[in-house]
Amino acid sequence: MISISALAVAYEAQAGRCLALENVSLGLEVGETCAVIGPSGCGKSTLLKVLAGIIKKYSGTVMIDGRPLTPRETKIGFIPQNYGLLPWKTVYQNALLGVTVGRAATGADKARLAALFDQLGLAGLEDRYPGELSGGQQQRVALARAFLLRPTLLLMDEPFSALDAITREELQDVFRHFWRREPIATVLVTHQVEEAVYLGRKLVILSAAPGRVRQVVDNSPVGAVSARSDGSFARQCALVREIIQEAWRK
Amino acid sequence: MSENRPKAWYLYGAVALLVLWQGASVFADLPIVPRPLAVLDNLGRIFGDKIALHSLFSLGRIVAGAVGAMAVGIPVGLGMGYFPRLDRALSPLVYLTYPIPKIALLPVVMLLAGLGETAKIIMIALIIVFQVIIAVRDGVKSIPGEMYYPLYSLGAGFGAVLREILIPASTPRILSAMRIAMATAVSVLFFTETFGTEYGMGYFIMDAWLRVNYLEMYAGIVVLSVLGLILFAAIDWLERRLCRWQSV
Ligand SMILES: Nc1ncnc2c1ncn2[C@@H]1O[C@H](COP(=O)(O)OP(=O)(O)O)[C@@H](O)[C@H]1O
Ligand SMILES: [Mg+2]
Repeated sequence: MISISALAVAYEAQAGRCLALENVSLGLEVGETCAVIGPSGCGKSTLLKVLAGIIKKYSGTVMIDGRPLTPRETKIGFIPQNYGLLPWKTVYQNALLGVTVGRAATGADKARLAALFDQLGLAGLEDRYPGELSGGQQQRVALARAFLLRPTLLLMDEPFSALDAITREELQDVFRHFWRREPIATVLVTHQVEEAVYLGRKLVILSAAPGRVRQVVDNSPVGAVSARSDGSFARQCALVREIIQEAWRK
Repeated sequence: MSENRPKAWYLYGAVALLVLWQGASVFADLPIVPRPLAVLDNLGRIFGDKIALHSLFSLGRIVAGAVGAMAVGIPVGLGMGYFPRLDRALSPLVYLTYPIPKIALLPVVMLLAGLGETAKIIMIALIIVFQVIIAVRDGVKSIPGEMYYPLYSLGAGFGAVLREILIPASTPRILSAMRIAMATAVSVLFFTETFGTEYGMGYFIMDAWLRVNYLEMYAGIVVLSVLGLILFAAIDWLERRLCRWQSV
């Protein structure tokens, strides 16, 4: 239901125009997770900014159900690379920010948030400020905000890459748990093969800058289903690694 | 403990000042440098029926000037910080006028606004407003772009960006600008109160001087410095209330 076609984005830098994405076409179904893998600087963040309506100058089309995708008409949750928490808001206020833009929080919002905090292990931290949290806790707050919002489209920019390995796997499990309960169309960007294979049903492999779609891999038998210890998981990772090595060499 | 420390420091400052003053007065042994205890004793006797009203006038003018400066400076600074075009248009104007010693504008302000309250308040506002504009503008400019993304992706309009990001991000900057401007504002207030009014600490101190009543003059100076202390303490208090997140 979300379709990107012939997307190209260029930045105006001092040194002249810099092409970040070229001829990117993609489709994303309702309740599908799509993991975009690409080397650093290939335009992954740029792609998310276009989907989030932050970059408005691009060529090509980005449609949802046949209409242009804009944040005014579609509920979009965006977790940027640094989690996007506002330092002057408490954990509680930060988590509510998604639903409270444009309206006041209802009793139902607050009840759901309390439940989310419990499940995410954030109970008791409500009155802290982001500066008083560990990276993993900040990421949990960002996830609480996103799940509370129940967006039509969820965008995550290298959501777990700044965390240590143990915390990263823990949070990937948290994400899968919530996502399975309420499948939200998700685009997540990563440079890690395991993360992509573990969380994505569809893997999109981008080339080095300017980013072009090299290959789309159907990961549905593995992504969001199998455990990390599964043989199928390890085989899929090895396969994707091969494809990537091929794709990034060119 | 950290709550009590500022109070202890204020006390320490007051005691140190009194000791220095006492030393100077013993050393000089002149009527123009009276003993601090004599001054405080005099202050205790005349505060209620003489000085209190003057100090309220001065405080009122400072507060009015500060509020006026914020009412103009915050919107202008926010606009310049957020909209690069507005910044390009207004920056030259701000840079040209900011360095002018505001006291040099006093004759112009008096000509336009008369000798009364308005001119005094405008003078104070003029001192503070530039500091506020520049502090807010730089504060907004230093907000990393990523900070806005979650709001933009929710389709938030300018109102929400203002409320959720621009104002909280610039509040600490506004308060420190006020703190920096306050000392100059009090000096200029003093100056403007030496004419066109019979109320205010400036008037009281100059009047006591002309009457060669040094005890009253010093009592006025003490009150003026306590007034300054109250203003700084109020700014500190606001900062602790509004910017709790900063100390984490
Ligand atoms: N604001 C910008 N101005 C100019 N060039 C930019 C800007 N943002 C990103 N770029 C360039 O666009 C390319 C893609 O950036 P980005 O989307 O952040 O890559 P990734 O997230 O995949 O690491 C990079 O070469 C980067 O230098
Ligand atoms: Mg990036």
